[in-house]
Amino acid sequence: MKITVDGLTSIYHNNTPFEHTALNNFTTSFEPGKYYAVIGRTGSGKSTLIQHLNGLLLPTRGIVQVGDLTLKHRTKQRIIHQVKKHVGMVFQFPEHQLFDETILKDVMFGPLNMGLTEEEAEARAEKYLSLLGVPERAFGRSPFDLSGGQMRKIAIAGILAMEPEVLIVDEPTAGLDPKSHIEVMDLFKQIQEDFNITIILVTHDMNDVFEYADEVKLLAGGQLIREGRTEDILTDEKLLTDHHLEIPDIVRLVHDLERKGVVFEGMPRNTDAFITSYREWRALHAQ
Amino acid sequence: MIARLYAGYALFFTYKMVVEHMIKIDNLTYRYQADGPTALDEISLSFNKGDWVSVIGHNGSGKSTLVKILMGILEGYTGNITVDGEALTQDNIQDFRERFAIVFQNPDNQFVGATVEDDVAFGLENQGLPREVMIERTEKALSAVNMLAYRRHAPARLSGGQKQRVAIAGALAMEPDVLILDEATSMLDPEGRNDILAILDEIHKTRTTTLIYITHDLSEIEKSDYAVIMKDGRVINEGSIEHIFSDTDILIESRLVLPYQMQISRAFLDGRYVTHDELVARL
Repeated sequence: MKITVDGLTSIYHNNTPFEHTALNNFTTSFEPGKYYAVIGRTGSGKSTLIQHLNGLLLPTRGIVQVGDLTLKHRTKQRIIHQVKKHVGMVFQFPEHQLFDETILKDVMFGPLNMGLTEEEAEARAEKYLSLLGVPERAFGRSPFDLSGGQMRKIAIAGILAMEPEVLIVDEPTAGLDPKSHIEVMDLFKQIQEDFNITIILVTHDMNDVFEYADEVKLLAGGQLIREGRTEDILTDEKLLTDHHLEIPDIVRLVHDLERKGVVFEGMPRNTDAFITSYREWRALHAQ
Repeated sequence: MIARLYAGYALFFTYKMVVEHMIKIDNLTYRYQADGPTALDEISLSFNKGDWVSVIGHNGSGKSTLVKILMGILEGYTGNITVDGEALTQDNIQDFRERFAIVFQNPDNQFVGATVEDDVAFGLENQGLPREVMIERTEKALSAVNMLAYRRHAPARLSGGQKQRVAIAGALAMEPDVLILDEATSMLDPEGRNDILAILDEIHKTRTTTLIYITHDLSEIEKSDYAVIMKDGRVINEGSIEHIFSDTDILIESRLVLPYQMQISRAFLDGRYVTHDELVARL
């Protein structure tokens, strides 16, 4: 499912003294099955943009086209409801939205709400809980007995069980310990690859963007500053620094080594890939 | 040779005399339920005055339980805790609590004042200080965290990093002997996190406050004097940063993730602690 944003302007508190333009004449698109990262410092318009993609906010001007559904200034609830079926959203701290007495029931809630039967919803819940490595014997337990990282996985399973074609994730690892951080990030990559879902990640963590995203959209002051391939944007140290973003650790390391004459053929995207690249470089230069 | 040994011993004893323990913990054991598992299992630790000590562990390792006991929030432990040479008891814990300040994880849950400066001054109001002293301490604390320009702003309108800086100012204004930071950067963006670490570095240089920094992120402990690794309610390693990183297997077993430069050091160098620049120089 393709999403096209055309001339989107988003004004909060329009026609009041508190009027604030969060997005200004914004145009971009998201191709099906790709992994996108939306980056920019706090207040750049990232959160506003993603809320427009699933109809949580409606344009003040311009349109958001989700497949053949159009979101405009006065789009009806019926259409918005359709959009939400296709575009799932994992908010920050999704575990705060857990509420049911068992893990299974909690994950079934979304599919039931979409109009699936009890049996269908249960099958979906079992499928996605298994995918996330939750053992069947735990299905009847309360989600509130789990650790923070596990609770977050259950909440994510609840969104996946609705089988959206586009999944938006807003700072999905905030507050998680490093191991859970890696597990959650690997999970989204696996979902993208296994189900050919579009992932739109909003994050401040440039190491994650560099490791996982295919494409990047850089926002500042409610405008699109740059968009393109991750390896082009995240290796532009000046661009990142100008927009108060961190340079990925591996990019900094590779650039520092290049100045010493250690030059790799491709750019490794994470620490493991760096270790492989350096091992190859050493083998090549030992001869 | 013997003279040199002797000089070494003399230096060692001098060091022992000069360095005083701010907090000393002996055989601390705690269970949340009487017949339940041990959340803390015979922990013994000491924190030197003015040191920056990092306590590192995965979720559920016992680090938050330790903080709650030090803050007097949890009672019913066994073992001994002395603070500045005096044993902590049920009778005097309230007095000691005033000498401890804490900054929590969530920047949104720790504000009471309508403005930044009201908020920082709030904690001082119970101490019966003259107004001039309160103003002076508030200004000093806000300057220390680079937030004086925001003194008349509403805390709710600040960024997460700015909120945590104000929370630190509120703690500093109390002039505590011990400042505990309980995963205080884990919800911040990298810029906010770096700001907090830089401020702590400045506080640390004054050596007037003992910093206890609770984290699960090994990349944040570079500036600490001492680090403690916790796992399943036990202390499984402690020492200088160099010492902690000299046994990376223990860190990996403890569900911790090595910083990138340490992973690369393990693959190509001796696996010892290196900074980014040292790594670049040695590869």
